[in-house]
Formats: sequence, C-alpha cells, structure tokens
Amino acid sequence: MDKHFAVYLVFFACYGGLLGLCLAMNRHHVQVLHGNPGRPRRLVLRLAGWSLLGVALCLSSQAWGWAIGPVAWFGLLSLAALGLVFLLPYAPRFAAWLIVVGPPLVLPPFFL
Amino acid sequence: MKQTFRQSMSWLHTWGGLWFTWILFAIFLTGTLGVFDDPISHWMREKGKVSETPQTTAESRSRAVTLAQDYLVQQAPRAEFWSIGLPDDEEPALRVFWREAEGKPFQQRRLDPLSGTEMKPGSTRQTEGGHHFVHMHFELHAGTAGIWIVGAATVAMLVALVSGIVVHKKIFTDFFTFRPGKGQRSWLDGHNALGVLTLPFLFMITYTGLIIFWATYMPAGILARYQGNEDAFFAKLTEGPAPRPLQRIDAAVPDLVPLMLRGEAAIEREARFVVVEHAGDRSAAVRIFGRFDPDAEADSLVGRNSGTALFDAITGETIDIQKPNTVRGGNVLATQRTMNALHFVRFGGYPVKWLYFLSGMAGAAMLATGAILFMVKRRKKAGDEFGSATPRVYRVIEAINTAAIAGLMLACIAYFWINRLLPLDVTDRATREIQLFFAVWLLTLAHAALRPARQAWVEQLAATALLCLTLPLINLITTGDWLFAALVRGDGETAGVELSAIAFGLIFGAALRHLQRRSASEVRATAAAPIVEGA
Repeated sequence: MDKHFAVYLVFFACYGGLLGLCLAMNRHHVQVLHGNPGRPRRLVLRLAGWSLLGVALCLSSQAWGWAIGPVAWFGLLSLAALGLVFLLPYAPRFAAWLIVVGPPLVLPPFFL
Repeated sequence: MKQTFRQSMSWLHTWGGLWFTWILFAIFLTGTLGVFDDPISHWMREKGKVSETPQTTAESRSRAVTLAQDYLVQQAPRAEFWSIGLPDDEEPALRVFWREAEGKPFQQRRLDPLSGTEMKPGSTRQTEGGHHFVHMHFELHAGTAGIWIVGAATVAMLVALVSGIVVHKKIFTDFFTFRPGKGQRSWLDGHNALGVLTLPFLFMITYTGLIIFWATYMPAGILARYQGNEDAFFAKLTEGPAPRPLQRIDAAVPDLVPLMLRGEAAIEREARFVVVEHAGDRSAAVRIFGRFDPDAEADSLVGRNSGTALFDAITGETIDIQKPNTVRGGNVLATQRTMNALHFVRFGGYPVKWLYFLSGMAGAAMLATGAILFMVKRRKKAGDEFGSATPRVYRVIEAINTAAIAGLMLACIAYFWINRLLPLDVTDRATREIQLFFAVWLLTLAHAALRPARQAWVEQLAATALLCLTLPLINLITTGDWLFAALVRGDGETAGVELSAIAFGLIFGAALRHLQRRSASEVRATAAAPIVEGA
C-alpha cells in the first residue's frame, strides 16, 4: 500500500473511531448532537469506535508491517485525537461532519 | 504534614516539573527540529540551487581517498586516527579529520575532491546546518557534561509523566475535553490534552532517549569487569574483533584505495567514511563505513545500520565484516539498537518523520503550557512558597519561562537568519553561527528580565512570528532563491523548510492576537473561572 494513502486511511479510521468513543459520552453527545444518548446508542457508538481503531491498527500494519505499523498507528491516533479535541469546542458540528466530508475531500490527489 | 499520595505526587509534578521544564522544552524543541536535520542542512547549504550533483563512482571515490591520504600523511603521519568523509549529495567537499593522540585537539579540513587542495573559507556557506539542533538536543553543545544534564532531565521527564498521570483525576472523563477562553482552566485542559493524547509517543521518546546512552549513564559494570575499557567491553558484547593496542613500531599506511574497494564489495554499499585507526603504527586498522540507505529493508526496526568492514592496514587481512542492517551481540543489544532506531526515526520515510515532528511539537507545547500554567495559577492567587522572597522568585521564574519558551523559539528561527546574513568568509563560520544562536537566546533572557512579563511575551512572540513569516524573503534577498522556484523545481526540502516556517509564523501570529484579545477581557474571565484543583 502506498504510504501516503495509508496515512490518509489510518488517520480517518482513527478519527472516526475516536469520534465514536467521544460521542458515546454524555458530555460530548450534548455538545455535538444535543441530548444524552440512550443506552443502545452508546453501545453502538462504543463498539463502532473501538472497531474502527482496531481496523486502523490492521491497516497501518498492512502498510508498514507489524514492526513499524503500530508506531505509525500510535502517531496517527495521537494526531487524530489532538485534532478532534481542539476542534470540538470551536466547531462541534464540524468536528462530527469532518468524518463524512473529510475523506472524499482529501481523496482526489491520490487519483490524479 | 499529612498528605495523600496524590497530594505528594502533585507537589512532585509541580516543582519537579518546573525546575526541569525549561531544559526539557529546549530538548524537545531542538530534538523535534532535528527530525528534519537533513532538510534544514539542505536549506542552509543552498543545495536546492545546485541543479545536479555529480554522481559518485568508484573511480571518483578512489581519487578522493588517494588525495585525502596524501594530505593526511603530510599533516599527521602518526595519528590516533584519520577519518576521510567522502563527498556526497549534501556535502560536495572531501572532508578529513584527525587527532594526533588522545587529548590533542581534534582537527578538521575541507578539501577539493578533484585537486586535494584546502578549500578557501567563503567558497561555500560553511554551517553545522540542522546538526546544530541535534547536538543541542542530546548534549546542549556541552559534551559529556551536557549528556549528563540531558540524562537527568530525561529521568525528571519520566517522573513528571508518571506523577502527571497520578495527579490527573479524570483522565478518561476528560479525555476529549478542552474548554477554551477560561483562563487557568483552559491552560490546564490544554496541558492535559496535549500530554494524555501523545502519551505513547512521550513515553517512547523519553525512555528510548535514555537508553541510547546506557553505557555512559550506567558505567559501573564496565568499570568493574573491564577496568572502564569500553572498547574491550563492546568488542566482547558485539562479538567483534578485540581492540588493537598501539605497538609503537613505525609502519606507513599503504594505499587505501584497494581496501576501500574490498570493503565496498564486502558490505555491498558505497563507502561514506574511510577511517584509519593508529595511522603510522604497526597496529593500524582501516574501517570502511557504508552509506546509509533509508529505503533498504524499510519495514524493519531491528538493526538499522549501514555496514562496516575492518582490515589490518598493513597486511590487508580482513579482520571483520558487518553487513548492513544486521545485528550482532544477542537479544539485549538488538533490543537496545531497536530502541535507538525508534528514537532516531531511521525508518518509515517522510510520513513517519512528520508524525514524530508533530508529536514532538505537541510534547513541546505540553511542556510550555505546563510552565505557563504554573505562573498563571500564581498570578491569580500568589502562594507563599518562598516566604518574603516569593514575589521576587516569581518574577525570576516568569522571566526564565519567557526566555526558555518564546526566547528559544526566537533563537531557533534567528539561527536560520544568521545562516543567511553572516558573511561567508568569516573564520570558523559554523561555530560563529552557533555562538550567535546562543547570543540571541541570552538577549531574550535579558529582555525578559527587563520588560514587564506580558510585554516580554508579546514582543518575543511577535519577533519570532515576524522572522518565521519573512524567512523566504531573506532567502530571496541573500541567495536569489525563493519558495516558488523551489516548488517549481520540485525541491521539497527547501520548500518544506520555508513553508513550515510560514506555518509556525501563522501559529505565533494567532497566539499573539489571542494574547492581545485576552488582555482586554482577562479580569472578567479570571473572576468567572471556577476554582481549579490539581495541576
């Protein structure tokens, strides 16, 4: 896998995963979507969040191998988390929409 | 005094953190810039303008080695070592280094690789380039003493990381929390978020940093079993050849070219350095170091090296060959070497280097917010830690904070300017550049001591932002090269340095605007902020 493409994939998988875990918390669910999440929704968000983080780790290790993959995964996980945390208070809705809008926006350069 | 565990950890984190944070910030900032030491050197040496670098061939390397050997025989027929640095893309000069004996000064000259004559000062832009940041990072330009100071600070960092986790009461509830515009609360949130979210990186980089110098930091075993002879210890550890003591029998070093070519063939790499140990003595040995290839076995972390070949200089007998990217000496050494590779980012190419760069900057920001938080807290409600001297001690801490954070950033970008503005024919130009870097840093301390705290921050940040934003301009004025030209010719290293400088300039500009807006509404905001626990 092309390393730059891997960066892109793993970053957004991490971002999506963290966003899921974040929205599963009352404080941030209120901040982004208003109202507290019900128990089923919390479970789904958590499950999706952890699964995406796992998928990101697998993708990362596909691209870099199991020696360097986890290093890159930790790095991208930290970056995605910093991005999310510092975006949330300023543009909570946008922070959530980013997982929908972001990937297609960044995608074109890879196919030029 | 009765204290809970968390309270004593809080004390440890606050005060242990404070005294070491200034030096740790310097280590983090320069180390992070050092991730890109090659691009920075590339920019500083104006390599982007050289349209094509002459390909090195076995023939050109042979000629260079012969010229260097002729030169060294004249200068120092007997020497503890000679070292010949062969020209490459980044360094077109032929470099020779030697030391006549232990304790004698270390000598260094730059030769023309075609004629073997000494290069005149001023013919090229002599500079340490990005290497300056790397040396600052691990030894503060202070040799072994610096390595020990950095080591102590590194241990303090590990203590601060662990105590910080203990002190942080709501690590999971507050995992995604940052509340801006709330004064002290925001600084604490920022400090926590930066620290917690980059924790894996911070632990990794701090611990591996310590492990690199294990033989220096923990010398007891070598002192006891090998009488302090590190060479003998490492020879045994790496299953390498035994050290060769001086025989004190004169023996001229024969032509180095055949040995270099044999070495290159043995390790299947071009030679980068040819080193002669004990030149002029019967015990002389020739060591060939291969050129580092970051792309070879790029998915492996273990044993990232470029290979060496060792010959008896007089008889030409092969003493030892180590192929590139191999490890010797068992699992312990392999583990240590892997940690070195992790620390030096000698893998993964640019994507991983950028991850290290951004994580390192987040770490530096975490240290800076911690130091600032200390004063923000005490500006609001002064403590009484130093009795009647407290206000004066606070003033000193505030000044050092400013110079250690804003001042160092100013000195770092000033170093780029100094590189462009210092005349080319100054003697010892590379050293002068570094001295001027320290001069700028000292000036920021004087400035911070003389100006009111907020003014000092604002002025130093403004100067840093200005120098960052106008870096491409000074490059254009002094060398005629500019960002657009670099982009057009696909010179990512030159363009990367300048674009990064602009990005930092914009960040500092935003920080300035924030500071100025805050100063208007500060009184209101701090009055409304809730009482904060921890820190």
